[in-house]
Amino acid sequence: MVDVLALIDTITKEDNEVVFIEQFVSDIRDFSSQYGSDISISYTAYNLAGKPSKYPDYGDYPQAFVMRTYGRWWKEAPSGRREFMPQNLGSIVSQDFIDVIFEQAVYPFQVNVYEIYNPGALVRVWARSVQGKWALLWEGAAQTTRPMSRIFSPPLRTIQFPTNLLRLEFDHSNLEYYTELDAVCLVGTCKPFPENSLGTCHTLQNNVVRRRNGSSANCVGLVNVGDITNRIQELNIHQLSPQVDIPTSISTFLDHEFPNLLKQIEDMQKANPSRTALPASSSSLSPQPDQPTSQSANSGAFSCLPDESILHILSYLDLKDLCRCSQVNRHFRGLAQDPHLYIELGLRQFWHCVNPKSLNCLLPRLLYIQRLDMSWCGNYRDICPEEFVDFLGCCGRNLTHLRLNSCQFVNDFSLERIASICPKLQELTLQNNTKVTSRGFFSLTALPGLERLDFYRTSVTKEPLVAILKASPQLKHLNLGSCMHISSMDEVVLTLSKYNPDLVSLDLWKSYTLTSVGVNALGKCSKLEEVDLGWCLSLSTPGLSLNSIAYGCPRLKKIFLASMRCLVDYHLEPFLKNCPLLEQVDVLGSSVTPEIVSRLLRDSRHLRLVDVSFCDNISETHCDSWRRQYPGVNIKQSYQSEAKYRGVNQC
Amino acid sequence: MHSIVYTGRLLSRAIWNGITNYTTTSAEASVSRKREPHLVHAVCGFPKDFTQAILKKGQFGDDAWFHALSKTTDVIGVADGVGGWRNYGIDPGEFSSFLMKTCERLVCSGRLKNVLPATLLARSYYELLESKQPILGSSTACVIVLNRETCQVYTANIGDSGFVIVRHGEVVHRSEEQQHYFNTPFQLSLPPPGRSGLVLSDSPDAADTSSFPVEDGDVILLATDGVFDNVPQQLLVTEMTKLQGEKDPCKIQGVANSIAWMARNLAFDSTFMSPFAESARHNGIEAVGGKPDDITVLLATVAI
Repeated sequence: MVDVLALIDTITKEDNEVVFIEQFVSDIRDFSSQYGSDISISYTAYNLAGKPSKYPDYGDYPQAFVMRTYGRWWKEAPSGRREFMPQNLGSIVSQDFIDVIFEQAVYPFQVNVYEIYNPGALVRVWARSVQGKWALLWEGAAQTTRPMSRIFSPPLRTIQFPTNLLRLEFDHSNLEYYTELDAVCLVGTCKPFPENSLGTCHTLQNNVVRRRNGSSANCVGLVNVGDITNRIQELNIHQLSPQVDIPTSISTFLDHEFPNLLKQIEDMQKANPSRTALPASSSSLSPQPDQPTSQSANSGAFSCLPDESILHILSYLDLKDLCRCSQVNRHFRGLAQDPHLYIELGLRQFWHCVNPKSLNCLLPRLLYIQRLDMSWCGNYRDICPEEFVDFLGCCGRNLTHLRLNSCQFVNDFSLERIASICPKLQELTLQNNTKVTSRGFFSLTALPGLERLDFYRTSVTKEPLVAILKASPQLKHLNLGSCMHISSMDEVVLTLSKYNPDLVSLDLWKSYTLTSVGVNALGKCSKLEEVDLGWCLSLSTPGLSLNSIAYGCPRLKKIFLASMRCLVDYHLEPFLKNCPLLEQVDVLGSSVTPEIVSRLLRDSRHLRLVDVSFCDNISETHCDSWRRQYPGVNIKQSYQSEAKYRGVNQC
Repeated sequence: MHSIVYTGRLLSRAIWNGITNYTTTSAEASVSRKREPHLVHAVCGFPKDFTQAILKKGQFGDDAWFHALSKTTDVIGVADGVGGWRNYGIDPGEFSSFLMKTCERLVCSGRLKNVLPATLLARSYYELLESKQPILGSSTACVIVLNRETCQVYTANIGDSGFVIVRHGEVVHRSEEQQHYFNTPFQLSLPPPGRSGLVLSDSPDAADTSSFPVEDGDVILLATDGVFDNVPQQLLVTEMTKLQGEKDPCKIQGVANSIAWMARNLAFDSTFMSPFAESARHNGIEAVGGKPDDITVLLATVAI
């Protein structure tokens, strides 16, 4: 979809000639979650490829890319997980990402994101160079916007390399409902564009956008384009001569600073303000003349404090600040690198600069590490399985928690090594790691202490899974969402009910082989607090099997029954009586009537979330009156409609 | 002054880019078409009732059609939503058009390689289950896939829509009608919850499939029962023979129009002994005249 004609006419007399190439996504490289399943095209990540298909319609459409979760509901459910080193996350936290490929590498000028439902979740745009360097193009807090479809064009930083691989990061924790994206368009030039023409380019781009869409629906996009121009003028960038370096982007800032600063000595007074400073002030981070290195001589007032107190203070700092502190002087270096500060380590936020080198820098501090989160790290061969295993071999003996979501270095070999290096593992999450086969999974039977397993979107099969379940009697949380290769989910659930009596949460999202036999067996897991049976299509007529959950699991807090088309009132009835703790109920696309929902709202005192989207019998009027009557409950009703622009749950 | 000229140039470039962006893709497609086997196609049709029908792209009343082109295949298909659902407050056209649109998306996504029409229909039918919005109803469907590497056409047919392939005035290949009993064709269906036992529903596996090697110039007619029930085959063949070897989309469109008009006129001719009336007589029902129905004609010639 590259604009060929624009290319023909490129590179002419004037150096200032700028030719823009517009392209839509040609392929999806990687993503962290999707609502749809891999054997379908509804609500899947691949819908982001190509031209927009639904824009400017606003609504919940299967033609869009939808992520698996929204809001804080999953975090607050019994299966919710604590972040390791939450201070690392910073103010803009992302929960999901998607990596998209374009046909031709360009110097990015504009990224247009077509959002067609609950817009505002995009928080970061990254670009990857051919050499494998990531640069941050844009970062901004998640927005709450009007419920209208829009083209979002964040103001981009200039980068010095062409790219055809973008990563979009999303924070949907404040959204009312799932966000849906239709397409992503990358506008860029073949050669770096001259900075002095930036202002002109933006007015010009303004015209492009207007001309292309012609409708009023994209006014948000236009406003944003205007914002870019203003911002650029504010920052005075458009007056800089091409020789002057544009302020370095955060990523280069991090890239240089994160691994390298370990070796640099820096003044405490300078380090502290730089924490809050913009990347523009990166000059303050350049190597400073060495300071006197006498022991705790210039620790200032800190020298009055016992080391334990300083350690406690330091434990509130994030990894970046700890690295900075270790450059103050020897005393601080010793303290900031104290292994006690690194009992848990969350690297997900730093996925773009985690490589074998930075891991090696960290290694000496990880003597006592117990909880490690390396999700999203080391993709595109930044870390190979051998390097990861070497790293783990040095620090992994005491690990109890290991999170490796969307890590391409996880394969059979690394999983086998994990199983032998970390005998104390209690938690292992392997979301989206499709490379692991039965051999790798079988090796997990060597871990008797497992309490949490997350196999979302892996190719785990029945045999190794059953073996793992039998070998892990203490299992509390299990996620088998979108595991398409399990030949009989019933058998898995039967094993669960027999060998894992402590089970607290179970996610069987899109388990197509689950039938009422399996659901019946679930009733034996009496400690169950959370069960997700959404989109278990073979279960569309649940019969009386749900009763066994209702009667057998009195502690139930969350039950998701999305798209159980034949679910009717009497299926829910037992839950009202026997599960007084219910907080989250999803009956999307079922045949329940307003009557039972009213009673659910009345009887379940702890209820906070009810999703009645696409229930034929429940109208918007019902939802509105419930919202007035029960303001403490979030009542979700999604819709597909061209004419209706009202938001979900916004009265 | 310089800057005005500069801006002006950029502006015109940008406008030009904006306009050409659309045209290039279609131009690209036609360039690649010249080199490889493909179908030159035209569509014509009428909803049964003009007053009630809402005009939507790819739909004629309850009928729906699609055409999709990928690197390896050229695919056409029609589907006829079963009208009986209207009594339940269900729009029968929604089911058929979803089925066809999903087929189109599946082909265009390019993620299916060497797709067979029966698989395509099955995948498309499956997507109905994957949609949050339940799309209820039922539909007949007929899909033809031209494999552009082997010049074979692969067909799948469920129900009483169908196709005819004509070469030099002879019918060389045609579909078999699939009926449970008179006027009740095989159909893919998604009944309302709780009614699944009461509704005829055939699995996509029940599709009648075939493959057939085509030659340059072959004429393919893909149509819903509104055509086959009203126009005798001989008339169709006569019309189609006019297009033997024709590559001009306008001429094909002309014939498609005339077939659709013919079907439309005969459907409302109460004295005409239509194929539908004959079939009724075979089943012991005294009938004469055409059968008013939605009409969709998809006419294509094979260009190699």
